[in-house]
Amino acid sequence: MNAAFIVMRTEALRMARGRWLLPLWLAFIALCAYAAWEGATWSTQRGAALAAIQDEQREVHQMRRNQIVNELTPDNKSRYGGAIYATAMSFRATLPQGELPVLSAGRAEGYPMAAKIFPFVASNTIFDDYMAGMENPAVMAAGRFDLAFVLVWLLPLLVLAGSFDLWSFERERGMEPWLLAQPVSPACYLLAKAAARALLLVGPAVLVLVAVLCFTVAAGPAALLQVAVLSTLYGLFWLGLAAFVNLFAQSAAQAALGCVAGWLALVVLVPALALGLADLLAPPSSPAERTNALRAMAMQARAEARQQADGAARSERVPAPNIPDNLRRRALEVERGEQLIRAAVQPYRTQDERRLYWMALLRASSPAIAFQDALERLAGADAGRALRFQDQAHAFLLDVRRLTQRYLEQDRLLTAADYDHGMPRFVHREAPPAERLGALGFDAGVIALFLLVLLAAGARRLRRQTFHTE
Amino acid sequence: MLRTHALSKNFGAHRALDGLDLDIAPGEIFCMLGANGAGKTTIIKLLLGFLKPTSGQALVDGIDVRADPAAARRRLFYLPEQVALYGELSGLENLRYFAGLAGVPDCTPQRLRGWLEQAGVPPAALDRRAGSYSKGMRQKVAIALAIARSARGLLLDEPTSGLDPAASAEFHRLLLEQRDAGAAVLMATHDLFRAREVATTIGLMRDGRLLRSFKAQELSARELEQLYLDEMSGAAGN
Repeated sequence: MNAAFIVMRTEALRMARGRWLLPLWLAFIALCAYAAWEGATWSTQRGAALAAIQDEQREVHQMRRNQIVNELTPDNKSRYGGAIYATAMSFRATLPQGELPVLSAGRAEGYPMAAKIFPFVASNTIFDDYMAGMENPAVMAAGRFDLAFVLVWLLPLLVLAGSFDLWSFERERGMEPWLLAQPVSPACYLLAKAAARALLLVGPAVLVLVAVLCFTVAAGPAALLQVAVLSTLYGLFWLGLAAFVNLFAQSAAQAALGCVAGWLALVVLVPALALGLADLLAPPSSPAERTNALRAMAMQARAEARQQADGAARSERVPAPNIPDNLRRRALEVERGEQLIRAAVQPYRTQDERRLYWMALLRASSPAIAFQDALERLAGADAGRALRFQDQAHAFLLDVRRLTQRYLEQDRLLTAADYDHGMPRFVHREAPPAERLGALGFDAGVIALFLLVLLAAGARRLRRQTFHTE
Repeated sequence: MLRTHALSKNFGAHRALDGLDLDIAPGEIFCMLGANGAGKTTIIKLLLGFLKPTSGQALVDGIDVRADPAAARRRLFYLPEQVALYGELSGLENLRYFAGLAGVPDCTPQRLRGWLEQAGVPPAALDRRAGSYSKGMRQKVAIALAIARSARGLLLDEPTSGLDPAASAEFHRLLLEQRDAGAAVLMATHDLFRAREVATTIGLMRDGRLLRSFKAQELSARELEQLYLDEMSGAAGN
C-alpha cells in the first residue's frame, strides 16, 4: 500500500479518536448557522426594503395616471401639481441583492441601495433618501458577525487548531528520528498528514458552509461552487501555513505560537497596514467637503439662473404653450447646474478612482483580504458593484432628462397611454460574467499564490536541511 | 553489510567523528562503548542519512547512504533510546502503521499479532491504546517491527536504557534471535556487561575516534570494565 495513503489513513484515525475534533466541528457548525441566520435576517429586511421602494414607484405611477384620467380636465391642467407634465415623472432605481447576500450581513449598507429620480433633481442628490447613516443599526452591525467574518477570521483558527502540531507533535515526543528512519520522505509525511487534515477539517467546513447557504438562500450551483472552491483554497492556505511553521518549530508550543502569529499578521495586521497604505497613497475623498462643494455649485447655478431671469425680458407666448415656459427655464437651470456639478465632482471622482485602483492592488497583500473581497463580490456587497449601480442610476437620470426634453420640445403632455404603454424602467445590469469571474479569479490567484510560496519555501527548507536537526 | 570508510563529521569546529572505518558483517553484533559525546549516536545518524558526513562514506549493503538514503533505510531497522508510539492507537495499529511504512507485505491482523507476541507483547495489551504502555512495552512493539521487517541491518541506540532487568534480558534474547537470523547489528550502549554477553565485537570510542575493537569473548567482564575505565580515564589524562 502506498506510504502516503497509510500516513493519511492513520492520521485520520488519530484525529477521529482525538477529543478535539468533534467540539471543533460543532463550534464551527454553530457559528456558521448563527452567522447565516444573521445574514438571512438582514437579507430579508433588505429585500423587503427594496420591494417597498418598487411598490412606491408603482403607486406613484398609478396615482399620476389616475390623476390624468379621472381628475384632470383641459382647463385646469395645473391643478394637480403638474402631474400632466413630463417634468413630474418619478422613478426609483434599485440595486437588487446579489446571489449570495447572506454571506455578508449589512456590508452593502455602506452604499445606497436605491435612487430617487426626477427629471430636474440634481444628480448628486438622487441617493440621498437611501443613504444609511452611521447611526443605522445595520451599518453599525455590518460584518460584525456574518458568514464572511466566520470564514475569513474563524475558518483559519479552526484549521490551525487542528493542524498546528502537524509535525511538531512527533518532534516534541521524539518520534521524528524513528519515523524518518522508515523509507518514507519527510515531504511525504507532511503532505499526507496535511491531506488528512484537509479531508477532516477543510472539507467538512466547506460542506457545512454550502449546507447553510443552501438552507438560507436560493443560490445557483455556480455561485455555490465558487464559494466552495474559494473557501477550500483559503482553508488549504492555512493548512499550508501550519505545515510550513512545523518545518521550523521544535515543539508544539512553538508551532502554536507561530501559527497564531501568522494568523494575527495575515488576518489582522496586514489588512490594517494595507488600509493605512491605501490612505497614504490615495486618501479617501471627504464626503463633507464634497457635499459642501456641491452645495456651493448648486447655489451658484441658482444665483446665475436668477440673474438671467431678472435680466431677461419676460414675454409670454400667445397662445400659451401646453407646458409653461418656466419649466423650460428650469430645465436650462438644471443643465447649467449639472455642468457645474460635473466639474466640481471630477476631482473627487479622480481621487476615488485612484483609491479604488490601489485598494484593488492591495488585495494581493494578504489571502485574507483577497478572500474577503471575493466573498463580498459573491454576496453582491462589493464596492465595484455599488459604484456600477450608481453610474447606471446616473445614466438613467440622463435618459429621463432626455425623454423630458423631448416632451418639452414637442410641447407634449403626459397621457394615461404613456403610463399604460410603459414608462422607462431602471434595470440594473450586472458586470459581464467574464469581468466578474476575472475578479474572483484574481482573488483565488492571490490565495493560490500565497499557498504556492509557502510550498516552495517549505520544499526549499526540506532540500537545504535534513529534516532531523543536526 | 554496515560499512564506513574514513567517515568523519564536524559540527562547526567540533570534530564529532574522526575517520571511522567499520565493517559489520551479517550475523555480527558490534557494540560501541563510550562516554556521552564519544560519537556513537553520530555514527548511527550518519548510517541513517540523517546527517551529511564531512568526509568519508557510509554504506549499507553496498549502497551509499548519501546517494540513496531511502534504499539504505529500506534495509535498516533503527531503534532509538526512546521509542514513542502514537498514544491514540493500539499497539497493533502502531505496528500496522510502521510496518506499512516500511513496506512489509501482508500485514494481516493475524501476522501483526504473531509478530507482537513473538516480541513479547502480552496478548491482552495488543488492542490497548499505546498511550498506556510502559517503556519496555514500547520497545517490544519496536522489536516486533524489526521482526516484521526482517531488516538486514539493525541500528540500536542505547536500546535498553531505562528498562528493568527482566525487560532488558528479554530484549537481548530477541536481539540474539535477530543476529541468528543473519542481521548485522550496530548497538550503542553504556551497559558493558550486557554488551559483552551479546556482542560479537566490541568497540571503544572516545572523542569521535574508535580507540580499539576486539572480540567480546576475548575479555572477561572484569577485564572489559578495567579496559573501559582505563581508556576513558586516558581521555582525561590526555
